[in-house]
Amino acid sequence: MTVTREELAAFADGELEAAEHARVSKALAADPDLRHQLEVHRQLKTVLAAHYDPILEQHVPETLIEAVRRTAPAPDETEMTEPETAEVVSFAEARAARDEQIEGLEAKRRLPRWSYIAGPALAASLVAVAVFSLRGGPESPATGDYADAQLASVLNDQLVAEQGQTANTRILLSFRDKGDRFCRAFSGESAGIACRDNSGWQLQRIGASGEAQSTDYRQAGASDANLLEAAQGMAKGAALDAEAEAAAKEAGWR
Amino acid sequence: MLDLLPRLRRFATGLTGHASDADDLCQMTVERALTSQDKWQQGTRLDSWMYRIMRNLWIDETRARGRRSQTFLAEEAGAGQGGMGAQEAVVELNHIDRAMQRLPEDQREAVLLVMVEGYAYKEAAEIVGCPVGTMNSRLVRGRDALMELLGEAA
Repeated sequence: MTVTREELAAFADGELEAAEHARVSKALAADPDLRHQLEVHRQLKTVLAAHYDPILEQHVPETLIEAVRRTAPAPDETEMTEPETAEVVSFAEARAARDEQIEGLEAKRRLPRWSYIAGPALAASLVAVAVFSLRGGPESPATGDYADAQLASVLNDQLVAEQGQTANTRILLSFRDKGDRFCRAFSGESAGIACRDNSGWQLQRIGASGEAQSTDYRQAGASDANLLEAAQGMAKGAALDAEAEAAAKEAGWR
Repeated sequence: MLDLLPRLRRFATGLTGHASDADDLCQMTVERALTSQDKWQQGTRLDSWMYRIMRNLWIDETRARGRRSQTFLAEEAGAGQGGMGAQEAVVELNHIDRAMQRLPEDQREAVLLVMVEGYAYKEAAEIVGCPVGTMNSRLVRGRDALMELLGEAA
């Protein structure tokens, strides 16, 4: 029973007919590699959504709205242009129109998209989609608590660039918050965001974990995406890249 | 059509890889759609029709740029632009944008239409004008190439 890459993608995208769907489901149940591929496909979708969807929230430039409004009423007969010859629009003209709106554009440029913070880390997480199994965790910690010894050691030592595929807790990214503390978002056995202060790693946010991973391939996307969004809100700048992260570790995250 | 603008901007950003090119492309698409509105068939999806206009315009543009051998000039200009801080340059051209720009045109649009815009394979194939099976395989090749490029960047 083989499943082609095309079939697996179609499965992930909900494109298969019932019979085919059932066949691929069966193959997935029997093949961890296939499950991994499926997870990678889904994860990429999450990453791309995180990258492109913020554009939907951006302010649409006035020139565009204007362009729709200007010609929206049925044009009068004499001015009707034959579509085939409607070469009036060109990049140069469009650009000229846009330049009038340059201030709006500059403002838009400053709007960070998610990947701006998540970028350095997401690439790593993409290739290192870990498969987790359900573990009976200890009692859940609360926001404001400090990370326990096990989590603290992961937060202290694990670098995004170097973590293994099988790490029980995966660091999603590291960044500095507005109070200049080093913070790290993590996911896996436990999930959340912790920031380093004088006493240790204080949990700023607790994400879904454990029970969210009751199947042997986890639906990482949604909860990781929420954490990244939260991180973006807390961060002062972009996420640390591999070099900056290593330096921060060297300095003890202080 | 106004309601479609945010989505058109998202697709345009994916195709062009640049916020400024994206808005130019949107502008062209809107104007072309309005001058060709008699060609739109009532009862068909307006969004698919506009996406088709947009990708056709972009293909024309990339061919024209190719002829002028300017394909990458805009990218360099964007990355090295003075006045813009380093961080803003990162926003303009981060590694996902860059990886997307390295995909062949047909794979990039397949990835965008299905994985970002959420079109069914059949609708995406209609927008592009190819068979559904071709759309499926372009998507897979594009996805795999993208994974590899992003993996390299890590």
